[in-house]
Amino acid sequence: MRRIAPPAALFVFSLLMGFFAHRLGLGNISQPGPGFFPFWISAGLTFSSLHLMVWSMRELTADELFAAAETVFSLAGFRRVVVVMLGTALFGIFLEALGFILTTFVFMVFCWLVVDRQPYLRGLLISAAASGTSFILFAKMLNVHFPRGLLGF
Amino acid sequence: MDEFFSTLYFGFSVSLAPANLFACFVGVLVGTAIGVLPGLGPVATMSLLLPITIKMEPTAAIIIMAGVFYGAMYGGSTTSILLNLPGEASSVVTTLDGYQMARQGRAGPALAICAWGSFIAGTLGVLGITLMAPPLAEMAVKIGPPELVALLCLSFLLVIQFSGGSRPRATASALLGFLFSTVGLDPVESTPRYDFGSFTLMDGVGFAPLVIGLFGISEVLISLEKGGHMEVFKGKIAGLWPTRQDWKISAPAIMRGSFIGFFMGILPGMGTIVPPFLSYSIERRISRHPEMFGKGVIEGVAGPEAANNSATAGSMIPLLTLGIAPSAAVAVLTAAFLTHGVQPGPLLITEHPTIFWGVVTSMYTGNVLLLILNLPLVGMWARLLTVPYRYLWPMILLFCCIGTYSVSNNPMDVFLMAVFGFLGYMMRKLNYPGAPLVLAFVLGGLFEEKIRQSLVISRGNYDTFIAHPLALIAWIVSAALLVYPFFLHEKKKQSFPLEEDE
Repeated sequence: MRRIAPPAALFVFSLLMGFFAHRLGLGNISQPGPGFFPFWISAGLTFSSLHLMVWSMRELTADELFAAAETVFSLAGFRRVVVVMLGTALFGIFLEALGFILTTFVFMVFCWLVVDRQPYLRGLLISAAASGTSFILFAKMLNVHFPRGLLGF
Repeated sequence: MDEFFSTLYFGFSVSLAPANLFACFVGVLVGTAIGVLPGLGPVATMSLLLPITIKMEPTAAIIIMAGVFYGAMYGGSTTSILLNLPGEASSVVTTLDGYQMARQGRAGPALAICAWGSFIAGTLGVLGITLMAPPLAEMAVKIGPPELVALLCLSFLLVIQFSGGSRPRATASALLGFLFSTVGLDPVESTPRYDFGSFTLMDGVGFAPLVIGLFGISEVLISLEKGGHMEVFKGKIAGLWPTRQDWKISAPAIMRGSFIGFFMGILPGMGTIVPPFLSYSIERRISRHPEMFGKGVIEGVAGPEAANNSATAGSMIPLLTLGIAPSAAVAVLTAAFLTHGVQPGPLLITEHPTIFWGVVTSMYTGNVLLLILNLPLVGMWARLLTVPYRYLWPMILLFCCIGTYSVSNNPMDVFLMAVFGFLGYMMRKLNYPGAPLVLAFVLGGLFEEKIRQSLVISRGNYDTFIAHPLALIAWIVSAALLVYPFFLHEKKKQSFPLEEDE
């Protein structure tokens, strides 16, 4: 079942994209509209995902399918991946509000202390050093404009 | 011939200017470092450098990015030989004999032949660009929208065919890339598409969040899932000069590898990954002692290393003459050209000779710099491998976030990068190749524009797509590529009735 899930997700995604493309207007063959190209690409993806679904089902028997799905992801590893991914997404969300230095410091603390379980003092020191050096390198030396945030730094 | 030398002289006068020489040095240095360190490939690194190079002069910016590309090929071999851990996908083959040589105490000659093989192949490859690019560009000027549609179609099919993994998954990956390229304003009528009321999406999906997410973030996520452990090399590297016998065996392998790599690199989809495998299998086939391959033979290191470096040079030809990127790394270079307002393609030589010849000749200089960096400093690169990964990954993540943010100063791009990072991770786990997605994303806008232009010009007449002989040939080859797997499948079924198609 899990092997069919990715092409099934692609299938649903392609149907949605095709629907929105159709609403944009396909135009006609001598004057294609804005939805023309995405619509036909979505149609291609629908066909491709259907093909993948059938192909995935034919590829392995039910038992093999279950065994293969079990080995693809390890639960502990996957949890770690999701946590890091969410942390990175939150970095983007809070960057404007908290400013670069504070967001970076919190992000580094999260990586080194929460995800990697480093000793507290070492983790805090490395996080402070990393946010300070990256600010000097990118903001001062390479002139990247970072948001200052509510606290003004 | 006089023209050849005068253009080369002009090119060197550009590339040896202090700023450009420094850019070349920085590029190859960074390239070697990221090639040595597993965890951040050339594609993600080049994307990270993209925002930093925006304020630079275009020639220096492209030189630095190209330097990272071919520098990573050099650096990738170090980890393959010392740790049995390929720094780059293109260095996978080097592990087979390179690591065995290191275990036998011959790490020095293996590293040295890698550096020399890469230098010779890289230089021959650049010579190939110098000779082949101008006539090809002259031919390419005559290509109209319908022919370009056919050539792009052929390129996508080749990428799907040779991207590794299954073709249905590669096809889905490419189609996904096309769909991502349609987000934002329509290139003809400027109608917003798939923006869902978001200003970030109205601007289109950014190149940096997509590529850094798919390649940089996903690499970190994969390493973290595995626990992020890395074995450290503790042996001594000695004898950094191959013996006369080593040279005698390696020289023909280097020449064959250079030739194979260059011509395969030109073909879309081959990238720098397929040529080393082909070179290795040819070396093994023609060897008098094929049974020794995999046990530490020097030609098993020399041939593939030469192939992956000359493939880097070969893959620049479609970009510089047609504006088509044959691999993900070259797609990032395309983005670099476009960011600086330079359209890569047939008019590049006439409209921007400084950039074209400056970049081409910088690759000669870069190869010399790489030889200097890689031979005497090999001990330093090996020491770099002793940095524990637990200190590296948070910094890689931070650089990815900063790199993405600084392109458009939009924090939502960092959020998008995280989403693409997760998509990249899932794709890698489920064996969906990322290269077709990136290529389709980069060339999707051009592809759509040319299809629509062709249809408008011909008033909806489909014959326009096959009217030109070049387009017709491209369609025939495309059709053959589509049909060929079915014949192969039938043949396989006859030989191995119980075997699955993948």
